[in-house]
Amino acid sequence: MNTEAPSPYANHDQVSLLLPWYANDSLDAAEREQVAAHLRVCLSCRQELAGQAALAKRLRHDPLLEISAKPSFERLMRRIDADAQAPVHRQSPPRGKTAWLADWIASLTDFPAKPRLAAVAAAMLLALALPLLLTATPPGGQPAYHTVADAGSLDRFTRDDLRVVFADQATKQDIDRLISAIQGKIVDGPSPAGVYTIRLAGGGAVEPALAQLRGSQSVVFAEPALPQAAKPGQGG
Amino acid sequence: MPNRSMRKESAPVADAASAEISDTALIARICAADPAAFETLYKRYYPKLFRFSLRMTRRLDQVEEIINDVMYVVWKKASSFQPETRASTWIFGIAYKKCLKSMAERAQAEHLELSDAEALIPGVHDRGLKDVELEDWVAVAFGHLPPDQRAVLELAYHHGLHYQEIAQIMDCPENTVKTRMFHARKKIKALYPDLLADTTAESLGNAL
Repeated sequence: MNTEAPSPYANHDQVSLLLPWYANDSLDAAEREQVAAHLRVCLSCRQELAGQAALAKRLRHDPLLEISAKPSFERLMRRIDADAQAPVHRQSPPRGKTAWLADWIASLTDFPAKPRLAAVAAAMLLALALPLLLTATPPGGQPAYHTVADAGSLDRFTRDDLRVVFADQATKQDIDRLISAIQGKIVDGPSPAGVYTIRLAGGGAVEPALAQLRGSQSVVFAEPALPQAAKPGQGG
Repeated sequence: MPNRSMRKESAPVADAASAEISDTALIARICAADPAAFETLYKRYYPKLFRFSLRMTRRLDQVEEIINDVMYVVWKKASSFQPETRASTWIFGIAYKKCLKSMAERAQAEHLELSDAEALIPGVHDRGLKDVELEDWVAVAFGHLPPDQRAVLELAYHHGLHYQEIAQIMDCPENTVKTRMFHARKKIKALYPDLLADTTAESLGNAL
């Protein structure tokens, strides 16, 4: 059995690449020992290290310019404030699981800008298809469309339930933080359309919770799961 | 992403106390839209980002825009920060990308061949070069390296970072970092053979 220790010179190329980090003293103990062992037998690496150490020393103490951060910070905060006050509808609509919602909204708002011919064609198509839509039953006898709260399934909701769609860019942490802030918990979802059912703990007030959710950029849709009873004193 | 349309008003983080608050703790407070924590982090990173951006782009007129673009991302995306990562790694990673973007936009990512560099530096082979102010020497040397090599040199030698952390910042393999450093060393050595050839007995002894 060969019991000879490997030559410390054998790893010259590998150690050579580590010299800058030996010079800046950031290597871990094992790497540092490996480099030190090699340096004991390699004059060219010792020369190289001395040069690198000189360069590191110069760069470490190179002061460049001293400029106050305050004016720059104030400019950044003005930008952030202006950004926060910008109308939300100018932002690009989210894609992905909520793309259907964005497309639907866009189709409503963009309609006047479309050529008139397209509107006429759409009306004709609707006139032709309407009798079929009213009489035909999809396979299985179930409606082929879904609303966020399907009729017929409302009995699984309570008055404390909210139906919420989060923005694509919302992280799990964002969602958890929002739900925690309104003292709610997820009891269902996400549905294929990305809808969560959130139940407010202890009969929490629905309106403030909705206001908080709707005020967040992480939420694209928030509604009560059930129609809310009119408050006392309200008309209608 | 948290809604930051209504920033909370809170007491400024006192200078003495701010030194004790970790970057990670400040970022956690920024998640709750705390402007005082943001100001503390901004001031803490301003000189570091100033230096790094200037070294990378070599354009003083671009530096503030880059710093504010970086810190804007920190404010808006604080909730995406992973606490397992060092805050400095995250912030410098953003800064590196912003610098590259800025240079790409202004076609600043120049790369000078060694033969061209030598022709442009008066007296590069003169003995008198040792009298050149070293700050100028470093600035000239950096000017003749491509941005990725400048970044590795700056992060390793000024900020003292390990190659693993530099790889995270630059979003590249660790071997790429080592190779970039190797080429930077080689290029500087070719430009300034006398300045880096410190072979005195004392310096060689200190190497160990």
